[in-house]
Amino acid sequence: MSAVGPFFVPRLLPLAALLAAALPAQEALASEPQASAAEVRAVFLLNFTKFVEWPPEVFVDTAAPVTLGVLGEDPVAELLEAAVAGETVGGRALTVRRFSSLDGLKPCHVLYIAPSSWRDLPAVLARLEGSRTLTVGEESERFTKKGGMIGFLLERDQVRFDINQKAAEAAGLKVSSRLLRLASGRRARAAP
Amino acid sequence: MRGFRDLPISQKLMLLMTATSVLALLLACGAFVAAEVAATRGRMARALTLRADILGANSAAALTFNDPKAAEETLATLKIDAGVLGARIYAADGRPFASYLRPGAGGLPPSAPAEGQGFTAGRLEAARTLLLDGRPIGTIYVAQDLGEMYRTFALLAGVTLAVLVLCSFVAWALAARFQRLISGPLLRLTETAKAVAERGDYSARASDGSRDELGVLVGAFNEMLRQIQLRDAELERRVAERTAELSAANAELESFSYSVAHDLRAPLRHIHSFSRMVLQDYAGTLDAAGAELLEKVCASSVRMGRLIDDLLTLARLVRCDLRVGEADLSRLAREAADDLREAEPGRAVEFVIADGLRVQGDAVLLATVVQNLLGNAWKYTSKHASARIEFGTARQDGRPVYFVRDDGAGFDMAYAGKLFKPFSRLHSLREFEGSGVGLAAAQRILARHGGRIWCEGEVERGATFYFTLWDKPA
Repeated sequence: MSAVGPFFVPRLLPLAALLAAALPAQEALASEPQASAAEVRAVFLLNFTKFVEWPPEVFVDTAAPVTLGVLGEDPVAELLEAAVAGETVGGRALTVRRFSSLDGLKPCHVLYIAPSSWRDLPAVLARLEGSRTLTVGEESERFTKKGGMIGFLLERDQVRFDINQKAAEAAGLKVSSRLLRLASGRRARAAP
Repeated sequence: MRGFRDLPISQKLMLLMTATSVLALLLACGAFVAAEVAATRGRMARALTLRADILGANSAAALTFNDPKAAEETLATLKIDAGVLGARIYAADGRPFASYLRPGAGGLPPSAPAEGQGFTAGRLEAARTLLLDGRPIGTIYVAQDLGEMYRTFALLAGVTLAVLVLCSFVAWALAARFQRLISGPLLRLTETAKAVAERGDYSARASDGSRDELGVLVGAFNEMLRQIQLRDAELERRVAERTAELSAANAELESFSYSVAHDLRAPLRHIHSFSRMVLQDYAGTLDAAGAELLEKVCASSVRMGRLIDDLLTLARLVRCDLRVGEADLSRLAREAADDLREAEPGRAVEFVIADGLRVQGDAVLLATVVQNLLGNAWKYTSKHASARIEFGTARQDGRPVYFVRDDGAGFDMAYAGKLFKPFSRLHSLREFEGSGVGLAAAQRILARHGGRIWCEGEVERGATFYFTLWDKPA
């Protein structure tokens, strides 16, 4: 956990928000019937699997599904279950597993740590160490600071995320540069 | 085509060769340009499709995570290519998601176009479906203006045209050189043929060289000339041979008749003198009938002597040398007329002799001609109480013709051909004296002067003898 430094924490949140405001396309989208934040999170969780590469050994065989775990009670779990129905990633099916508490937690490919389990975060991360689980949580800066890999945030009502690339790499996960480019912190730093 | 047919062969060959080359070049260049245009269009379409695919792959995450800003940043990299008019990413529902538009470059489709690529007015467009993990997540559209392509085509056309023009010049220059291979021998053959036709120079030969049909033609032509020359030589040789044979035969005949005539004189003289002696020495013993017979023998021998003399004269005329100088035919005619009047002063004959008839010729021989013709006229007018004899000139075909005209006994034109044969006569001796040698002699003299003699006449209405000089060189 100590390997995950605070280097990738976005420090210029206000500027990122400003940039987001300058996007006309986003404004056009904003005028459309807005999907709920939970729905967006569910879709994002699903889509992260398409831009993250796990080492082959995490799958039992080529037909083994990609497991998406949700820790804690959250509407995302239900929405995620709906979203993965019929979806595949790289030929693998997707399954959703719910964990009500830290006790029953088993390693998954992606684990969403709901805000309700926030207080257990250090223990969760400790439990998952070496398990090649992509951890996703809320409150980006704080989450990634504590060693989480992808942290959601809201920018002008849009769901964005930050990525702690160090933490992901330490867990043996390869995050696509295309995904990294979209990370809020990186874009904030890249902005003029 | 009429004009082409009349062109010299060298120009025809040049035109043909150049036209063939230029046509082939045109076809080749046309095919090349067409292939290049098609290839360029295909290449550009593929390149644009590829570019759309790359952009799409780079924008997939942005589209997935609903980040138009990131997608526009990706599209904005197209700025470095001034040929790109614009690009737009559409979400899965077909609505625009992110756009890039070069300033002042038209518009972009408001909703996702169907996948494909194509050339429309002035632009090349490509639309590709964005796939993520094999599933369509949207569409990307890229448009490129064709200015660059048209500039490429213009350059291609320019270079092709330059090559075409240059190659045409080279083809013309080469044709000008190569056509000599064919036209050269032909022209030389033509020159030779002209030399033969115009100058009759059968010794001319066309120069030869190649072994193709032209060479065969030239060879055949030369062979033809050689045969003509050979035949000419053979003909000349034969003519010369025949002429020599004829001359020899003629000379033999002449000398034979001369010697015969000459050798006949001595026995004839004996016959005459011995007959005279018998008449004188044996006048007493001969009766009247015997004396009369002997007188006839004498008269006949005298006449025979005259015949022999004429024969010898005729032979001499042919053998003697011709001394050509100025001869005054008018003077010769007047002298002959005077001689005739002196010999028979009793006759009433009017001579009309033209003045100044001067010619080139042997004066002595021409005097004989004039004497014979005037004497002939004088003789055959003797049966008429008065006569008129005219010596003059007329022109026939631009050349002078001399004539002697009388109004005497004349002759039947049916026998005109016999007049100039020696010793042939149209009238009996009793009618007119003469040996029949005069006209034959005149004909021979005139022949030696390159002239002719002929006559017109009618019984009892006179005769006209015409003659010419130097119709052809003697």
